[in-house]
Amino acid sequence: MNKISLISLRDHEGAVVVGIAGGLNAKRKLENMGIRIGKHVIKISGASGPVVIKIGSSEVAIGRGIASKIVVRRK
Amino acid sequence: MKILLVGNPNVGKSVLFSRLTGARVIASNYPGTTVSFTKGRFSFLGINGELIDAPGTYSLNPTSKAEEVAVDLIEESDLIINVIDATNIERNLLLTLEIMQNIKKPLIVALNMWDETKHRGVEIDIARLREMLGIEVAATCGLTGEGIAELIRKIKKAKIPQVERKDIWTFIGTIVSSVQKLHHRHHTFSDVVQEASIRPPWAWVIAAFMVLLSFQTVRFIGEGLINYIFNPLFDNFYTPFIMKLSALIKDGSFLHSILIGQLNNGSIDYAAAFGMLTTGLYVPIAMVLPYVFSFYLILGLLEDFGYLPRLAVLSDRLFHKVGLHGYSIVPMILGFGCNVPGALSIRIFEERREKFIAATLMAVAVPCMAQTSMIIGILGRFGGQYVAIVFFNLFLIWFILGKLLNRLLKGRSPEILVEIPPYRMPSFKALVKKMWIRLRLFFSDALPYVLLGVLLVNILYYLKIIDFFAYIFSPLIKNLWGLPKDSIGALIVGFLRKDVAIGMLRPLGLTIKQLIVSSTVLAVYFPCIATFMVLLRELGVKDMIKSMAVMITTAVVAGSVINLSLSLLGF
Repeated sequence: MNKISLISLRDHEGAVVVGIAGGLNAKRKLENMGIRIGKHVIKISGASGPVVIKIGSSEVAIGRGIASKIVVRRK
Repeated sequence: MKILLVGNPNVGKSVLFSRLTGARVIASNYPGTTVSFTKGRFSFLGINGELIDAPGTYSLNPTSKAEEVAVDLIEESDLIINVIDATNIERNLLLTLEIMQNIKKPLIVALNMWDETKHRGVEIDIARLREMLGIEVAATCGLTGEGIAELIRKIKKAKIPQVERKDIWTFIGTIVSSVQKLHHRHHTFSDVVQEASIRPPWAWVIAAFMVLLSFQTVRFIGEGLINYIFNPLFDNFYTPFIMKLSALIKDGSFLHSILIGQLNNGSIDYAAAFGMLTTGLYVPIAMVLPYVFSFYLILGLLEDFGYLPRLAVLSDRLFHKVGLHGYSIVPMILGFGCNVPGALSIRIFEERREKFIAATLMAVAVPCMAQTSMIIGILGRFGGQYVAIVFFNLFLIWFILGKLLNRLLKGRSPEILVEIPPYRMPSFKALVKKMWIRLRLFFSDALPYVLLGVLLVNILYYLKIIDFFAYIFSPLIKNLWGLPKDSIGALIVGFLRKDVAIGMLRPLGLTIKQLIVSSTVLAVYFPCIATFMVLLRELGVKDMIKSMAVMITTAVVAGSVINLSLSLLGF
């Protein structure tokens, strides 16, 4: 299994979103930012504090609590 | 006819709005600049009507007050211009399709930031997009004005979209894959800067540098304007006039004390005289305006460059300790300019608890520029370190009070989820325009209140009302804060204007310790009336009463503790 949370991803590592373990509200807010199942993301930073990812051509900062609920598969 | 500009946050709606109406609105490079709507008149191609600039929203299901405003406006409008960030159509199309499926109103799309697509490796087939959406699409660039004429022409061709109800994401997927081509591009210098400024440890170094540099520049420009422009202007051109006037209406008369105030051995000390034509003009123009000007110059640069969201991410952990998330840095930073826009910006937050904490902390511990420049003017004469002590006190109050509120109030800290815009080169014209809006607001909103404040001071003294309150509150003021009882006057006037209030400390001949205590207490105990009105509206009566209780308690406790600790330190 190489499904991990977004937090465990290393900086500069790319991954595909495979699941969002949050409630409907969290899911909707993430969708608004373009973060949903099947999307490719690249982690930019997030050793501490919010996780910053690149998705499409935009960058999004995600609080650690929400980030821990985003399940990704390493590429 | 009512036309509405609607779209995701930070796609350039406000810039387009100014282009189309000529009206002046504040635009910046971070999500959430517009929290309320602005209406402007337009008249083109024989159509007259009203154009409305709405706050940004990601979807028709609002998650904050600002988004609610946007969604409500959709209902009221006759025609909708959906503004889309051309470099990011996938995310932006969600709102477009929601509007198409649910709102039966004429709609056109403005594909904004078109100029950025080229250097960001995005290629969009506009004709194909128009065909697939079935509505008019115009490529625009708000900043340069490119494509605006075409957008206007297309308003006439706007029609009610016809769409079948299919799954939105599948539809978006189909559109994106057939109209957008992404070209691979190598890392540019701007990518490197962008990453370095958000990724620790370099991000910390850059943040510390940016904050220090901003602070020093604000000070340098502010001081420079005062010493080399405003003071010489007053001394050389205004003083002779005032002295003539003074001789005309006779020192000692009531009219003299209202207009000119008290002369100091026959000469005029503008900061201490307390006449409407002396202190009433000198305080706002020669003491406050220079700092307001330099603050908004630097803030404008940081906003337009796009640094604020990055600072928000870096301060997220600090803000979590006080029950907020990093984006709460926005109301705090705006509050340093003026607490009114700071209080308005809490609309971008979702939860009541978050709004309450953010608003209270800002009102308590963030002194506005008018107040700050007076603290510098009155206390800074004895040395910059004393001004630093006041700010250090305020930071401690902010932090301790925030920790307490976070612990005492039920609920959890919300989490940050925010788009970080790319860095953009600030446009000189846009910057000047934004400063003009803010400075004009300062003149129209602050100047009358300052004059009113000075008038009030005279009336309060004349009717001996200050003596009355001084008598009642003297135990608190003297025993706990170590201040002379006359300083109650400043606390009364502080409800109206903090700058005038701090100015009132000057003639009292306070010691350094007393100046530090009174400056801190004046910042904490209550917001000025203008901020109060906004907070009352945004928080509601119940939370405002709670917030006021917190403010007053904090002022009493913090004032006493600071007084005691400074005494122990030998001040």
